[in-house]
Amino acid sequence: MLELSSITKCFKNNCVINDVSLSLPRGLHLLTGPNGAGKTTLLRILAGIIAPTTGQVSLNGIFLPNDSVRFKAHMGYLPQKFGVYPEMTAQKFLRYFAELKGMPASIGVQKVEEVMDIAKITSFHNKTLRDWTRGMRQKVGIAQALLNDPDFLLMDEPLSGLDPEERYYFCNLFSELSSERIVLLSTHIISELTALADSIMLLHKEKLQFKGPIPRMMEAARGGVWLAALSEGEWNDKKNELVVSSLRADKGLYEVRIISDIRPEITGVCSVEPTLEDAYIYLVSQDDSE
Amino acid sequence: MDKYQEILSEIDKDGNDKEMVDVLNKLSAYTVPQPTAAMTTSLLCNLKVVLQENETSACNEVPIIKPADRVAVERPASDSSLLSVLRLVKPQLDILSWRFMMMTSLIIFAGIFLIKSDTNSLIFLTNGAPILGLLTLFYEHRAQLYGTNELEASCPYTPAQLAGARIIVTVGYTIIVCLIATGMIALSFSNMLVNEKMLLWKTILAWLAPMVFFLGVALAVSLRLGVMYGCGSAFFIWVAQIVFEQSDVGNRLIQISLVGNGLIQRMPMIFLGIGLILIAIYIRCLRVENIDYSQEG
Repeated sequence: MLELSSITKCFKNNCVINDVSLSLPRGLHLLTGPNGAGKTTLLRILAGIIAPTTGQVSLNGIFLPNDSVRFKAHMGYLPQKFGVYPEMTAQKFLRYFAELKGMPASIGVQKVEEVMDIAKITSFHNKTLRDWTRGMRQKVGIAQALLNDPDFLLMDEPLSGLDPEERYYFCNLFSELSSERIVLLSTHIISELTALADSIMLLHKEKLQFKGPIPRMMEAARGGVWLAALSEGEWNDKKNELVVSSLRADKGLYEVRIISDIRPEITGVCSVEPTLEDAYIYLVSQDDSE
Repeated sequence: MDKYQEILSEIDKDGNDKEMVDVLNKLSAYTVPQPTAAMTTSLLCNLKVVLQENETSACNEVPIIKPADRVAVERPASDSSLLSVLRLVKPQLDILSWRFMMMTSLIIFAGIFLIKSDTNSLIFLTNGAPILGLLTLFYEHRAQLYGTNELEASCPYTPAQLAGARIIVTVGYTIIVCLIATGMIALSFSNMLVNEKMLLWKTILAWLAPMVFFLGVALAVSLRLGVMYGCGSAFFIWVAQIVFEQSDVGNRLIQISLVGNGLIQRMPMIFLGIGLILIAIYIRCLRVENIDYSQEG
């Protein structure tokens, strides 16, 4: 169990996270929120990279920052932005991290082969990382996070840079891994993980605005999502005053999903069941209007 | 008709909407044709193929990660601080690529070989050692430049342990190259050591002191500004020192420092001491939070 109690983080006078508390059991959990909401800062605190201004983090009774070395031995972390030593091959890079994670050489070699296989990069193992694309490097990053078979897997935007087929594969991998671990993913791509995630957290305006199962988040937006078909002229007139979660243009007709607590004054508008994206925009726009 | 009104109100349509009522009437009147046995068999065959495909892909697509040897992985956490630092030296040595080592040592050795003069070779080494040290320090800390430092910081070592291992590698490599260079000078120009009665340890101190001093300056500055600016600042101080050495006063001081036993002769020891103190301060004050994350969400 991962537990956060009253985590606050301020940089000088600017508070990024304010009094966040939660408990995460085994399973796949999503952390989402608008850009600059503090997701990356929260993940860095959970990874033991930066210390919270106040509050405590514990993983199965191991506390941060008091026992950070032992905490990190049980954790795998993929940062949002990371680099590589360009002259190293993927194999050497992963062996370097296996050693940094404290693995004896014999175990390290074996684990590197295993995670390369899992991340599907085995066939490129001898190419220097200088020549790798962003998506390929992302897979190396995922592989290094899995090296120490972590109890707690923490990934910041793990699907960015991956193509749809790879995203599908890694979503299933994270789901599979979450049966025995706590997997926390910070992501904007929530639709692909809707069916797999056990819970979702929405971080906005320094606080956790929502935490719970995905159906409950969608339930929160029920009655606040509308579907309308607008002509180009109508759309141009209304677009600045509407909160829109999706827009589809087809032969001059705009099919718009509108987020609003009251029925929009548009002819033919009808209430629809919210999707996860609708619910996300509904909750964020609710907070913005407060 | 009540049923129609209920359906139409659910989709926000008027219960008397003639067009919609017509549609609903047609739907009510529509009878689904009874499927034949052949149609059912065909449907089952198609479903079977799809279900089998899904089953196979579900089994094969995601490999199961094998459990790591927990005891082995947790070992560094229980090690003493010094043992952990020594354990880190080997991976940190991997960062120092053989190309870098070849190139830098070649420049030092070629310089000494080309100068072909005893005192000038020693001056070359004295001035070259800090630059070799700074280059090695910068190369060893490329993590900040390439952005691997966040990955490294998530590993079960403290920033001070990692920094300690990197300093061992930097200082160790520079000392080995400079010792070999000192050996080359001693063998090639033995007059300097015999006739001018200059002791070997003094020769070593002549390059060791500025090298440690400049490393100390670079590391101390890097606490605030990062390794790139740290090395840059130390480099500018080094350039200022070279300019000073070229002046008459500087040149006279060098000549005095090579012989005799006054305060000027003890300057290398003082610089060595200052350098070591600065390195100790760096290790003591180093936190990962020296990296500025405040600009990111």
